[in-house]
Amino acid sequence: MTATDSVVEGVVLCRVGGDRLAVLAGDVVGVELPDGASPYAGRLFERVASIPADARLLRHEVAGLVVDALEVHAERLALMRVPEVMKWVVGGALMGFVQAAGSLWPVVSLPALSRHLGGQAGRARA
Amino acid sequence: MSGVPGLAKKGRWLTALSTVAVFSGLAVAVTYAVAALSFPPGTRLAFGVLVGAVSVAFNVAGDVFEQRRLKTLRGLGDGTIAPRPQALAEAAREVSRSPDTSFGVVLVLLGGGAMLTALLWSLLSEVPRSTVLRVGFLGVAVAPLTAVMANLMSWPRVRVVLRELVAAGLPVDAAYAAVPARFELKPRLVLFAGVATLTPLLLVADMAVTRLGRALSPGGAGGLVPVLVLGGLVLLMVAACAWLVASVLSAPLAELAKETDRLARGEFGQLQLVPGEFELWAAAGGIALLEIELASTNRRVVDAASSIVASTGELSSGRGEHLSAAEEQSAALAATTATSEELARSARQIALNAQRVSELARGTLDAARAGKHSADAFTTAMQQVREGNQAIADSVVRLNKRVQQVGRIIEFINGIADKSDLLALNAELEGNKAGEVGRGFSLVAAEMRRLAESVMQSTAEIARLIEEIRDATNAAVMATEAGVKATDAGAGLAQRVGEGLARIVEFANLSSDAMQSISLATGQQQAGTDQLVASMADILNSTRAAADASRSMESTHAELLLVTKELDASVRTEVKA
Amino acid sequence: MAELHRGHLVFSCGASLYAVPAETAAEVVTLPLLTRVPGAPVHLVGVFAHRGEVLPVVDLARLAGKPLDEAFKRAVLVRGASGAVALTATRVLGVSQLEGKQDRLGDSGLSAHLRGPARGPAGEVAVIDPEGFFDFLARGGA
Repeated sequence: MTATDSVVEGVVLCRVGGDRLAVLAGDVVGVELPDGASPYAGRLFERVASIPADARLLRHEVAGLVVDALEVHAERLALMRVPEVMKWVVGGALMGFVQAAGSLWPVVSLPALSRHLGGQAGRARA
Repeated sequence: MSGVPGLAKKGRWLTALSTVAVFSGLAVAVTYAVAALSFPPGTRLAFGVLVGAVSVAFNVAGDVFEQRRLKTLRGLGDGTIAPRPQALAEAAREVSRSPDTSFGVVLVLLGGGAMLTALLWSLLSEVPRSTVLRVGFLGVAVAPLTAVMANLMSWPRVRVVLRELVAAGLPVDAAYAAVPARFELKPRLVLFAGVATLTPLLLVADMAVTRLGRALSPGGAGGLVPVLVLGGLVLLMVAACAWLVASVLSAPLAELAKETDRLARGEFGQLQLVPGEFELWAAAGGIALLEIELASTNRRVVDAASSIVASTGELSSGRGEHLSAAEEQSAALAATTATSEELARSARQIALNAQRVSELARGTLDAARAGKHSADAFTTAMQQVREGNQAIADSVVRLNKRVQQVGRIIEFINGIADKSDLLALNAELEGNKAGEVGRGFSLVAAEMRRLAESVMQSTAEIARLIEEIRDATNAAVMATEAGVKATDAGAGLAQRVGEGLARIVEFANLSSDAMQSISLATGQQQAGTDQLVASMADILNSTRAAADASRSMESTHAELLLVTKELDASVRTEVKA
Repeated sequence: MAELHRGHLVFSCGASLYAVPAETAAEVVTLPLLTRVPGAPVHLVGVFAHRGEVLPVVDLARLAGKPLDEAFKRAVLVRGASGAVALTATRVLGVSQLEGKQDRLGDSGLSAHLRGPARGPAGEVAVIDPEGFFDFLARGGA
């Protein structure tokens, strides 16, 4: 049994409170200051903490995700598969896990997450 | 500068009467000459002119001489000399000498003038020698009477001037002192009597001889008129002299009589000048001195009487005060006696208390000494406890370190046991999967698990024990630290207590000594107070007796006061009267 | 469904005893530090990498609606057809034969995938049906 089925080249390692997540570097069109409209990644970890002053916005086309801090990891990394029982999480935006900087990072698809969160926001508005 | 008003021109006034006397004598002499002398023809005019010229010239000279002898008086009169007592006294001396001066001047002028007239007349006219000699004789015969008259006539004026001097400020006693008394009344009276007798006698005898010769000589028919005129003049002069003598003597005597009468009535004070001459002057001076002395004595008597009255009054009121004071004193003493008895009781109580306090102080001293020894022992014990505590604390700290080391070892062992348990668990699981083949393996693994679990149970027990030990040692560390602090504090306290007790010992020592002194002193005070009470009782008795005596003295003194007031009133009445 | 007389790995989670058939129990592990997953439900407390595979950790107490304050030290790896999951265990008692029934203990939720009542040496045990349990998890635990 092989736990990895692909590799990723270049990820953006993000910290949100005490938790971690990673996005593919290719999905990020720019790093900006929070615009007030884009969602805060802390919500995904059910954290109620407010956005820090030095938070950054990972811009992806029209949408984006606000994180506390980020660093770009440009090496090739093995992308470990998502367990079956977790594939439905965040609307299937969870792509897998990478081992980087001595820790395990969940990798999410920024477009899928944006869609999922936009859909959630739309459902919440509806 | 104006002089003393009363003395103005008094110099001339004083000697004016001597001129009167001179011309009176001259009148007698001329009358006699006309009656008795036989003038050669053509010489009468010359004689008349000579007599006039000589008499005027001599009178002027005599007057100048007299005025020179009154320089001070004239100075006071015209203001060139200030009216000081010395000047006034000098003037008094001059004035009192003035009558004798007049006497001498008149005597010399008349005698000398007659001689000169006779000499000049003999030179100018053919006049018989006997006639010339008789002219000279006439002057010598008339001069003494005229001089006496001038002398006597001056005295009344002298007296007036002396009174003016006294009025001008010369003290009466100073006046008496300034003019020395001369005891010459007797020779003066003899002289006067002689002159007054001999002068008429000489003149009458001469007249008789002359008249007899003329009657015997042919053609001599002398009238009786000139003789009668002459006799009348002489008698007039003698009578004047006698009246003057009498008045000179009687006036002062009358005044002296009045003075002595005044003194006899007790009216002292204002000294009166009684001008007089010779013994009369001395008598007046003596009376004045007597008055002064009497006045002084009287003043002393009055003063003494006043003092007596005042003193008696004071004494009287003083008696009253004394009486009331004595009664107050008596009451106060009664109260004081009661107080003294109270004091005596208090003193006895104090003495008793002092005795007790002294014993207490001694007890306190002993207790304080014992306390100090205990405190010293306690301090030492506290030090030992402190050292023990410190040792315990050190041991506990070491123990704590060991326990921590043991804890780490136990953790390590527990970790190994946990891993062993996990391994055994998985081995058992694998053995079970292997079916019958793995059964033995599973049994061994299960046994291994039990072993690991018992190890873990033991380590858990040990960990619990270590935790307990850790808690206990922590508590012990804290307790020993607290104990060390407490013993430190206790040692400090004990040391302070020891110091305090040392001071207490010192003070107790002092207070014990002091209390013994106080006890002694209060004992003595008690004895003294008892004596005081006895003395107060005696004093109270004496004071009551004194109050009684004062009351009886008060009535006696009221009588004395009455008598004294009467005495004072009588003295004052006498003096005023 | 495996027969009760065959070996079952029995473990406790909180006050409850659970058991899985020994052949589905891959391993007992000491749980390392977990990585939380964004958007995961509360019973999926995290994942950890084990032998090159990412394993999700399922908290049975939370899943049963009785969350515990204590942190879990051990986990039992259960392997099904669609992968493996780690079930939190307070204590792992070991492999035992069980007696009793294999009826469903409930109609919905977790209990729909538990069989019993069965008895082990330590008492009454709920036996987890692995296949149904995995499906249940894949549906989001609802």
